[in-house]
Amino acid sequence: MKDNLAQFFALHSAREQGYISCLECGRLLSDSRSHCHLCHAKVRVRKSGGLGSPIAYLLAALILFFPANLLPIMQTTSLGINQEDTILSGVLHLWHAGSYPIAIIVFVASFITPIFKMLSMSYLCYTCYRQSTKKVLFRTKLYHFTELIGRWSMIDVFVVALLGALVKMGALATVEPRPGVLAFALVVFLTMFATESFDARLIWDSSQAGYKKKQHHEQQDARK
Amino acid sequence: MSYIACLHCDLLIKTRSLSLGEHADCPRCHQVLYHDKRNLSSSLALLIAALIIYFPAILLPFLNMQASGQEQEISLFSSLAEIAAGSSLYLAITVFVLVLFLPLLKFLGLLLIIIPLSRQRRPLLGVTVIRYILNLASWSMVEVYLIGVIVTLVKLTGIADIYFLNGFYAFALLIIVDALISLTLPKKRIWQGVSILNQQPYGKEQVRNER
Repeated sequence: MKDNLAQFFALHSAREQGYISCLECGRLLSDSRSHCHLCHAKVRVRKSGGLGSPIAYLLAALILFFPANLLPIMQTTSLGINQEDTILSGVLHLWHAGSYPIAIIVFVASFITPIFKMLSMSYLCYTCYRQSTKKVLFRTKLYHFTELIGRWSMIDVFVVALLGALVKMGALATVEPRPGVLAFALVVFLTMFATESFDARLIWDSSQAGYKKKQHHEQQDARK
Repeated sequence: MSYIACLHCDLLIKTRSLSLGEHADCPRCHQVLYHDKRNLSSSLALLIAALIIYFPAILLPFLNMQASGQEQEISLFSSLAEIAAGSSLYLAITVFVLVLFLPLLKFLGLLLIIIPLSRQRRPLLGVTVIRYILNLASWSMVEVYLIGVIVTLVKLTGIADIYFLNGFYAFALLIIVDALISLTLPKKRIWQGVSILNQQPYGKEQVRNER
């Protein structure tokens, strides 16, 4: 699928025609309205906050990403020996125990996914800010993919919660949750907020603006 | 003829009626514009099934662990109670909200919307509440929890013997029903129903009496 910018921007967007769509119920409203008739949600031409709120959430997620991965998420006490595990050391244990598929699932869900989400959201925010006209369709798809995978990072939080309850064998062994798991849950939430607060239509707005600028320059060059 | 705008790229588009099960894609960004899922009764049936299976799924013991002569049997709910009483109240609250509370809220809320709509009555809930309930889906994480259970089992193999109990099968069933609910949820039909019952048309403002 190739981007055909001339064809894309020959079509009219609702904003140019003086309409707002309500993101909650999908209704089309005239842009003089502040609330949707039907579902009473606040309506705006684009989500409030623009690129600012996804970037803010991303920065917060980036800061918490370090404690989430460096602090232990749980502590195993077995026969008087304490052992603290971070997310990555948990993956290593699974790998050494020979359960490769599960190790890969946990690694992808709890380490790759948050990093991928932060990278893809920063890429989307940056290209919108630069009014890039490249890969418009790809970026739209990337956004939806990022939205889709967000929740799957919570696996490790649930594992710690379950292990903590299950392994209570008197003096033999116990598993205790550690603060790292909360930092990790917060990273997942913050990246989910970042994706939710980003407006996919900004991709189209910004590339349209970039496309018009380019055309304008080309016309000026042609005149000279 | 009425107009809508693509929620993903803001393209202004004329709508046309679809036959059941079809969906319309945006000609510009190729994302789904709207589905035709007019069927409220299948959602209703699934929601009732979900509520029936919900309580056994969380209250019946779902895992039995035996290791070095000791035995431990937990249900989803008692596992959270255990953590809350022990080391980490916050962790227990997080899991409780994501896996137990929000799904239940979603099922009950949708039921309170869909029952009146399927009998052509106005739902008792206000439109703002309806909006929040329809938005709950991305925050209820029962299926993610199932993967968590599987990872836990793998971590404990070799250390202990683990048996699935009835609660686990009920929980697995709950996940299937929950997935079917999200797949078949007729969001557009719900808003259409609400708008007709509120004497307001769905679509562009000028177009009256669409139905």
